[in-house]
Amino acid sequence: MKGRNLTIVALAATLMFGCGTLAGCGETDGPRTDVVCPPTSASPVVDPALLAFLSKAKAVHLRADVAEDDGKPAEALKVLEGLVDGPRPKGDPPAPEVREVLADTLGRTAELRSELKDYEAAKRDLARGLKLVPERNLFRGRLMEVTGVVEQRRHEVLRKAGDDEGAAAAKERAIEAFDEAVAIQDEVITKTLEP
Amino acid sequence: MSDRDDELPEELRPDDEEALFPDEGEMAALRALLGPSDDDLAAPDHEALLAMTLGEDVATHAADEVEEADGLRRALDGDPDVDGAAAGLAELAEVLRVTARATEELPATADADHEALLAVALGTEPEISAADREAATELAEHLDREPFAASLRAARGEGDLDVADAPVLLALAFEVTGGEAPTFAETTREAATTLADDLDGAGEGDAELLPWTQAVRAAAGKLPDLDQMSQERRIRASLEAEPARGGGGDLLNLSRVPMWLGAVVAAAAALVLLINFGARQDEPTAAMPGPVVDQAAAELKAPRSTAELFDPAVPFEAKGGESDRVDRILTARASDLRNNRFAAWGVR
Repeated sequence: MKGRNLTIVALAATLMFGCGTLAGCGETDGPRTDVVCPPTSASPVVDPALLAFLSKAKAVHLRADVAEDDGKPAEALKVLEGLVDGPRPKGDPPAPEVREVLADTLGRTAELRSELKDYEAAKRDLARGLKLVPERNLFRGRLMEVTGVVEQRRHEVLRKAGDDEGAAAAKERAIEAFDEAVAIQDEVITKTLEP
Repeated sequence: MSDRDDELPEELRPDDEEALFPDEGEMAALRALLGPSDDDLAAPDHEALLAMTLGEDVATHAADEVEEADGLRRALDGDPDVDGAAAGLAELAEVLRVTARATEELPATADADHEALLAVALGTEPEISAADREAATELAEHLDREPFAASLRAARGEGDLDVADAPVLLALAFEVTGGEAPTFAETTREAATTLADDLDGAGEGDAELLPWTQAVRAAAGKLPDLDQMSQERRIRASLEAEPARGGGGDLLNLSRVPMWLGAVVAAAAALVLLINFGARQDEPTAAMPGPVVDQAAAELKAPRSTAELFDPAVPFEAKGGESDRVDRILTARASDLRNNRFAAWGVR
């Protein structure tokens, strides 16, 4: 009986320290680019479902390229919506590849919507994209840059319409977004220079 | 004679028995049928061949992949200078030959709940249903089934068979992928059938051959997804670890383990984990204890950020470039998937 108690204590210690050790390997909502964890038997791996999603994403973007080359941004937008609102591999949160490709796609839809002067819809796409990539990386930086472009376009439209106050506010938001994009880019570069 | 036979040089037509194992000139003609290259079968050809054989799409490859493919080519050709894990590929080539004629079908358990089977195999789920327990037993018995294992043993060169060569493998690749094999049509197919029949009748089964079953089944196109592959591999690993195959629940019987021994093992595990807790997080983690990360899982590539694929000094443009970016991501992860399939099959 004494031995059994000893075993229980030791197993409890194992679990306690084991959980602590592996805490950094769990899925998290926040940015955690500094921890590289190997896959465990319960971890997702790069699998055919992920490849299928990425293949679809490539085809969708190429199809959108054709539409844009033909001067049909609305058609391109419709094609891209099939990706961002379509099925994706299982996972909550989704795999980083899925999040980043979707975020990049939402940046494109936002840019297209702003071309079509639908600035509020563009803003919603950008918010959705930013939620997908909380990490301060190239994808988030690009979304911030697109945010600046969208606000810059809105500023021009409002200014021409005589809405000076609205134009000034849009300009301010554009500047903030561009500054944030630059800050993110600086961080990305700085990280690469770290030993 | 098919239409494609008309395109063949006379000496390569099916009726010519000497065409079974073609010489250099015949191989050149075969290559002319396969593609525009006039050179010797190049590394990418072999990579494509391997991809075709394994049912993969042939994508563009980076320089390191081409180099790896060249190593695989030499391994498939039986180059004695190839060592390490790749050296086993000559045996795999033999296995793939057998695959072209493999008629074995897995029992229905292949589509069963593999998580449940895994639990049964490990003896960790005592409340598992009788049906699942029966399914696990059936799977274990199938993996031990004598003719199949005997075939594999012969395929490893323990029988009287010749070593597979690239031309035959190439021909069989057409069959595996459902394409035509006009060059060696009848003669090679007859030889392959005879080979498979011989293998079916060869000797006793061997537990060491079990790791090959996944490769054969995969090459035969009977593996629907990677997750199932890895789970089945672990089932087999657990079964192999216990020679006496009674009920699955007997594999891990804690009642047989002295309590003091359990305490020592658990305490040691706790100590290892504690030490690891203080270690640098960026150091390799493959040495973590087996119960947490087994070797097979450590070999698998996990989903991760794609940021590493892009030059940090070149920010993404606000407009355009998405297609190129997703293409780069797709290419990188296709390589990862290929790696994972090899790992799940136990080839590496």
